[in-house]
Amino acid sequence: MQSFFYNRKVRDALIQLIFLACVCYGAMYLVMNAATNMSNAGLTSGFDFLFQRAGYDISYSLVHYDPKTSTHLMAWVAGMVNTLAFAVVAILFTTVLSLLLAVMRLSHNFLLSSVSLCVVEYMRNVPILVHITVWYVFSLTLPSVRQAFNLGDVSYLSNRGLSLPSVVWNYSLWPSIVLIVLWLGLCFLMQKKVPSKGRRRLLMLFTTVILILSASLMFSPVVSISVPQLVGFNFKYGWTLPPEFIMLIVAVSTYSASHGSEVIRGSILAVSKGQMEAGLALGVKRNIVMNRVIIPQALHSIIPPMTSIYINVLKAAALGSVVGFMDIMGTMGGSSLNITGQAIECILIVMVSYGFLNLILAAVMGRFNNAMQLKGR
Amino acid sequence: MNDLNFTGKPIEAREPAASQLSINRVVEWVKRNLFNSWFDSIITLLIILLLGTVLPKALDWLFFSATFSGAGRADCSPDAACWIPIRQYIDYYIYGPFPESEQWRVNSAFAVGLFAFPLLFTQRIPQKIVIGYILFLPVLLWVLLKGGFIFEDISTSALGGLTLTFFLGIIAMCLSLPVSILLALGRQTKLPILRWICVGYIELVRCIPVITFLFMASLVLQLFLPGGVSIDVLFRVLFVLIFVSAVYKAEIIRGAIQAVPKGQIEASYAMGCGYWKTMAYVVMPQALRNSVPALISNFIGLFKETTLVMILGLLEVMGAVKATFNNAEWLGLHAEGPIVVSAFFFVACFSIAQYGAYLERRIRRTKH
Repeated sequence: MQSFFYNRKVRDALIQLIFLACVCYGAMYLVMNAATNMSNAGLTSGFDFLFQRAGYDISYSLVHYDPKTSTHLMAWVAGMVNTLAFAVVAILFTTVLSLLLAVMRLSHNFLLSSVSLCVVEYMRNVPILVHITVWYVFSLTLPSVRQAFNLGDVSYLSNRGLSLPSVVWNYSLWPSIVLIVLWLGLCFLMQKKVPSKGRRRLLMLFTTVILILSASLMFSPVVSISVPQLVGFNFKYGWTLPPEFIMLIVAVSTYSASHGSEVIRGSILAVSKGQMEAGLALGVKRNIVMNRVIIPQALHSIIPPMTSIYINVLKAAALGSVVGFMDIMGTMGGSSLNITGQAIECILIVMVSYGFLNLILAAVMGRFNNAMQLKGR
Repeated sequence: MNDLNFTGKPIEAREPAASQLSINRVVEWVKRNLFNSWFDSIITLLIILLLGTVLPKALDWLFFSATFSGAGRADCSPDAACWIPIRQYIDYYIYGPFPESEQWRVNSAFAVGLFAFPLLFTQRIPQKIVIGYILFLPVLLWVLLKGGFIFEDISTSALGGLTLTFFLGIIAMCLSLPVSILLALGRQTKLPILRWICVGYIELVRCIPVITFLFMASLVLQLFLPGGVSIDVLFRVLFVLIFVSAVYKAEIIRGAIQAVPKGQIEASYAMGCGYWKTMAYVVMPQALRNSVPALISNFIGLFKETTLVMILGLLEVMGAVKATFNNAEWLGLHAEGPIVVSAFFFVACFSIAQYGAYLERRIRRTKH
């Protein structure tokens, strides 16, 4: 009997079974508690509430959302779109800023590299919430609409936000969708039929130019650009981004860029110095050695830590609730939760949404990483 | 990309021959580091121009024209910083609403907590004692700040300001360490079910914002508990901080475990040591020592993350500063509060980061 328990396989299986049983028991206990508590409070679990009227306002939403008629499902969509829009813009800014800061830091110029050092050290040692507060305070000092900063007569920065010119579709989207599908089909066909890579690229460029030309001819009255104009007490036309959105983007992207710049700098410095010297000794120009030798080698150690920085940027959208920008956490995990009282369902939806977005991001970065990995290793 | 840190000059050219400081050397340095090419010169001049316009104004606003002493709002100068409320409330920022007669407890808690840093520095003290201290620290802090044993109980609402930040940061750091070691081991174990559960937990927590978990702790946790049971908000926040930051630490420790040569583990098994003995006496001492710098930077992250509890209404240092500026007397002073908070965090986190970097350099030195 004793030897039975000392058997390696039996013991492993037993340990795992006991662990699994404990986890299952814990989960069951919590779920049972939740069920009794909810029935005591007169709540019914389920996702029916998604189709009820939401009845709260979302301060800024990219999709159409009407507090009087829209459902909680629509609120979730609005939150999701807000999160996505924030993430895309903030990730873009983070990348550009961290590259800029890293290049500045690696510069020969003593002043330039010390400025970068100070900025990076300040930004990475102060909590993100403080950054958001600082930029929020800054947004309070922006001038009113009438004294707005004029950025080249096409955009304006005021305490109402940043007004940008926008593209307006005056007609249905169908023709353009047809064109895009046509273009994708052509690309696909070419991928199959034309073997040479160079010729394929040339052909693709050619067809793209023709399609764009024909599209601009066909749609010139349909697509127009609308420039913001001051009418009365506000900007009309164009596209106005609210100050909280902009300040959140600025705060989050500067904060993450400070981490990103350290990653990039570290990776570039980790490529051995001999590589640069060998390139220079061969008579290649410095920037070509940089672009063709150093960066490709650095890139494969930049991408994995950059991915986790991007994931942090995505997660920082939830902090928008501090300044009044509502992402999924603000809509579904905040207002919807408070109104319906369906706490578990709402939090579950929030978690699944974040998990889904992160999965997409990780998959994209994974593909990029595979493409950038040094071959032949 | 033009002006990166590769000079491409032979080494003799890089190091000037003169050994004492002379005008020539200074000129040479300025030429090389500020005016290397025409592009460089333009950048240098632009930066000097920018700093020359911004810096005097900023310094003037912050210090020279600012009001440092006075009785009330009326003494503030209209277009410069006003530091009167900061001076007035500095005790509140540090101790929060902690009862005044008991403030020595906060002071000793600071001393006990900060003592952990020099302890990481010394190499003479055996690792066992250091780990014992780190595991004992939460108990000590809890007794000192929250009460129990022979000390008077302090209610959660009396904890605030820097005291609360410190309390949350240190306790969460110390208690998440054992959790993270278990998670890291679980992630690498050969038992599949255990491994899947650990991997699932780590990946799940990593992709969800901390703020979601904090909201969960404040709104949803109540639903999962049997009726009538309620947990102090401080416990709930600590619970979240511990189990979220343990995930990030687990990844650090996993990396350090993987860096331990496999031959050592095999040798240990060959000597007849079991799994736990191998881990405790061979792998962990090396892995933990090598992960100290990364753990310190993780601690900085955790320390910064404690500001998030403000959203749940706990007045940690940032919340305390914000609260005083919501006072009717100081309403309208927007910038001073965030400036003070960011200065505090900068000083605290920067010095810890420098300390971590120093430890890392030392580890690298001893390795080679």
